[in-house]
Amino acid sequence: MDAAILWAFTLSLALPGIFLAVRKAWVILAGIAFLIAGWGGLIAIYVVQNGVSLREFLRQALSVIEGFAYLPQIYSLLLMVVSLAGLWVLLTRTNRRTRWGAFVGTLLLWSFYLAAAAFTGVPPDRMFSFLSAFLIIAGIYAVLTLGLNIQWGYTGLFNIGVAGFFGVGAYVSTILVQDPAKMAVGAGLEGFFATYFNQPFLVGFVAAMAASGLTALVVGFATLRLRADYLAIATIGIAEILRLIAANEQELTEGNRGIPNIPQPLHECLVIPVREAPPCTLLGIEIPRFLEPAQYNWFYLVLVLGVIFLAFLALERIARSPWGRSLRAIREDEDAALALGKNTFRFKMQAFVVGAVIMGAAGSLWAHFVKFVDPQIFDAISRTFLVWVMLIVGGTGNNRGVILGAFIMWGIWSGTNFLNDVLPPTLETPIGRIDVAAQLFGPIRIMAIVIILELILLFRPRGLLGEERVTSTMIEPKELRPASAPESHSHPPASKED
Amino acid sequence: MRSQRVDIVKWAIWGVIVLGLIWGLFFVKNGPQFIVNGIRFGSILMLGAIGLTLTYRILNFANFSHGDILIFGAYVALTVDWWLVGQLPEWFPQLAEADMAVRWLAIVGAMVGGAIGAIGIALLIDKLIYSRLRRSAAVVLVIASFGMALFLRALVQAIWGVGNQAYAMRTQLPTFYAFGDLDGDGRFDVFAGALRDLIALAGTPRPEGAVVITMTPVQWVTLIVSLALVTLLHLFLKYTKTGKAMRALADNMDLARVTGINAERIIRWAWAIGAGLAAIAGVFIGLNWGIITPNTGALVLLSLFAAVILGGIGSPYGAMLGALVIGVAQNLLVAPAIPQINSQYKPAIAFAMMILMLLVRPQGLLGEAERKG
Amino acid sequence: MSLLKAENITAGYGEMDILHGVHMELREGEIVALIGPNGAGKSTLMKTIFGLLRPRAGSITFDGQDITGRSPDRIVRLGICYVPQTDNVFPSLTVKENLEMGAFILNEDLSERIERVYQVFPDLKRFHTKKAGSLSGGQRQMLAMGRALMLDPKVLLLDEPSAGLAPKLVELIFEKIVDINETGVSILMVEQNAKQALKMADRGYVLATGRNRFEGTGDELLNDPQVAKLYLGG
Repeated sequence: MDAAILWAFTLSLALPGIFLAVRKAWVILAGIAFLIAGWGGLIAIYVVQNGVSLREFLRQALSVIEGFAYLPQIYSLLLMVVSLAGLWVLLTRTNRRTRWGAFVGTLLLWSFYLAAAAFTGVPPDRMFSFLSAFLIIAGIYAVLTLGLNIQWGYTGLFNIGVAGFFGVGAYVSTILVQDPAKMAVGAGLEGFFATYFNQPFLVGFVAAMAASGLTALVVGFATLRLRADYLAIATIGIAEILRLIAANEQELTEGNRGIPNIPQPLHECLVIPVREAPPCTLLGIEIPRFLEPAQYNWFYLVLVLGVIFLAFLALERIARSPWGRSLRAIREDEDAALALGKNTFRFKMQAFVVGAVIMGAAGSLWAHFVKFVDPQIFDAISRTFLVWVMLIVGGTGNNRGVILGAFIMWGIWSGTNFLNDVLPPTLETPIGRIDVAAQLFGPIRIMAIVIILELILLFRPRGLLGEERVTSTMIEPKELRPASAPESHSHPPASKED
Repeated sequence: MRSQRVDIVKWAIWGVIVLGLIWGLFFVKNGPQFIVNGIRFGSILMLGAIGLTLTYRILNFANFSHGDILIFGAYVALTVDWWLVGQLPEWFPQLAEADMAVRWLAIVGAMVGGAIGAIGIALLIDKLIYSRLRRSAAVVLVIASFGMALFLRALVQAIWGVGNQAYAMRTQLPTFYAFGDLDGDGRFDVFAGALRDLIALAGTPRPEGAVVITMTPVQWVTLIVSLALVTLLHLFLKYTKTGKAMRALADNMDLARVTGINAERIIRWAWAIGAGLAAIAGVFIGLNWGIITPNTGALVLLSLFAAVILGGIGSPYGAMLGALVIGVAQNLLVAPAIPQINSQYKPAIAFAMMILMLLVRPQGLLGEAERKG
Repeated sequence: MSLLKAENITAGYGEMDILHGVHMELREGEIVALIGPNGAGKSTLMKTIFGLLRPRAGSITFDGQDITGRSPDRIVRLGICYVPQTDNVFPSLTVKENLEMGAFILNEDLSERIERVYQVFPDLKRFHTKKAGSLSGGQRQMLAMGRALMLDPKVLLLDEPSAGLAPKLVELIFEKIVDINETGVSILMVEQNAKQALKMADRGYVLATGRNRFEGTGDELLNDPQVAKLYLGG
């Protein structure tokens, strides 16, 4: 009975999302009133019948939620979905009232839960720990996708080696920040470079961005003059080679073993330690330690959100600047831009490097959150492909959409993750035993996302091609293009041989 | 109008290739062996590269799922192979004792089965997805094919699992072929046989100054069958109506339509040939390297693209040439031929050559300038 | 007798219309010239007739049948062949193979047809096994027309056959066109070289900004002072 009520209550929280979609004020109010009345009534009946106080009832309810296997995850996911719906309305609708309605509705939802938690003294630790991890990773992906947005969304650079720049940032940050005493083999580079180890996080972070930008510089020189599809092949090759280097240069990267126990920024300074330790000082002022170990993630989340915010601001600024307009011009029709005398190669290089720098930052954030890097970080599936899907779902060129896309896709991706934990590890089927994780959820999840992607490409290609007017290659068959029309961006001529 | 000036870049590239071959043959220890290995790998790459170059030219997009069509076909072939190995002795009792014959026949059947499977899935994907994107920008198709690559990989993983799998073929001892003065009598000998005979003949395993190459039966079959298939393809392209139409489509699809050629039908042929050859390449990869995994297709894709670009997009002959060059280079430029470079970096070699080619002569060795229409 | 008729054609690329209610008629045995300034829509009309572009309004009739919007490979089967203005040969195929492609929809021995094409264009014969990419501009033009003749079409659509050719070659090409016409092939021709086109044409249409401006016999148009001033000045 308890479980049933719990499930019903959980599902009913999805109603506000539906009401938000309807966008009529009276419907929203009526919906909220219905919820309050309905549930209030049920709770009142339960309380009266069983003679428990309201506080006790809520405490029991929250304990059940916290205690029952995967309910915290499901619950937080549902809250996330509703919040995302509210966020979407907030970011994409222009009607003042609708935006207020979304904001207030989402706020009410959260306040209700938090108030219930405070009221009953049952802290929703598990739910929040799941939530913070979720938000941090989604946020890192958002940063990554913003970087790709500059390259593809603004400038039309077809980079499918995203994983490469991400991984470079992660490894460089790790190598610089890692304590040599913790590494098993090789301790990184010895001799001259050994003194650079054990650096503070900020050094690693900045170095990660620099390294990623430098990689982009080198790669860009060789490849940015190439056609879109050649650039694609080249960038995927770069990512693969970086992976090979990471896997084989054991002295530098520990090879396939990976680098574990990566230090986290300000962890010792902010988290209450197990044993007594002197506090960190900044300019002579002692920094108080006030975080429980489980709460550190909230600090990290603030860090990630800060980076997203800064990146977002920077990108929005760029979009409106003359530089941004040049990039747009190059994206729409590079030959025309060339004809106007713009040094397109230089602009493309700048955009490529800036995008890579942001991707490097994301890599650094990842490494210090997950506390482990190995060559798998260059994996095309979860990094490059997922990031592109995030970009496409959010809408190319649209920064808000891109951030939203990252959260949505990560939600889908990790949401299915815990489904994996629920089922047993192997299943006996008529065709033999199958490993559920590797043969069922992993592949089916990927296949489902690919199907979503293909459907978007088939029916709403603007997600990939951006909000602007579709190029001439799309609206008319090639043979009908008048002979005198300029070649569109997607088919620029290769070197003129004849 | 055709330019009359001598194409310096092209001849320079050819020069580098020839010099590289000479260096490999005479100046690298065991060079000839590596070159033979390279030709063998190149002949496998050839089969994969041909399909890639055809669809690249005709449909104007880089098909990132080609490697995974290859591995899908290879896995279908795997299932057929094991099934046949069990079934053939039952159907043909006289084969019960002829173990190797059964295994070889099973491989043949497997190749056919794998080719059919790969062709089927390639045509299905084209019908469902690529055909609706015919007029789209290249980037849309690349992303779509990238997605399909992952889809196929996931499908393979779901059906066959994640671990290594192997074909039902026994490992065979290599035959040794030695050239040189093997018995010290001052005259040039040519010898082929088992290792122990070689030792007996010369007294030492590797006589000074002699060139020794080893090949197993599987490796011989790989080489011969690949070259045979490629020859058949050449005849097809040159002498059949469909083959000529395919070349016409590669030149100018719109003009082909204007001429009355049914472009969609020829496109299906291109997919079929590409996928079929790719599946056979996949089987050969499994036979030569012992195992296949769901990721094998992706690992080989970079080398396939390098071969296609080296030879010139759209030219099947270019793909063949490019594949051989890439194959030999990958074996000559890493350990053990050059000990300093880890043999894991083979894809990096292919990639470096591809980038160089793109910078210096994007249309490849045998390609024409940017295609029209 | 009316062979090919286009009535009230409105067509264009994307959102823009290029043709606004254009009409044209080709009678059996005629040469009809479509002339007019750049961008008038002459090529667009031809492409619409051949099915490369679907008209938004209007109809195209061939020999009594409505062929509006049919695809090129079906129109080819009816006996209409089209020679595009540029990129009209397959460069990596030999001359022989180019001609064979012209008759792709047939399943018979093509050597007689090829011979007949060589009778019209004897200069091509020595390039029989050479790649079309190695031919000069004029030779390519002849090959392109020869390819279109492989099916013994009733109607030949020529899109600017003299484009990019030296004057001597232009004369030659026009001579060939007249020869072809005399064998019974009706010809619709878009031409920049208005004067010469009208001289050999039976009738002509002058298009401007997507509309019919003038029509009449070749001589009428040549001698019309308005036409002469506006369109034949060059």
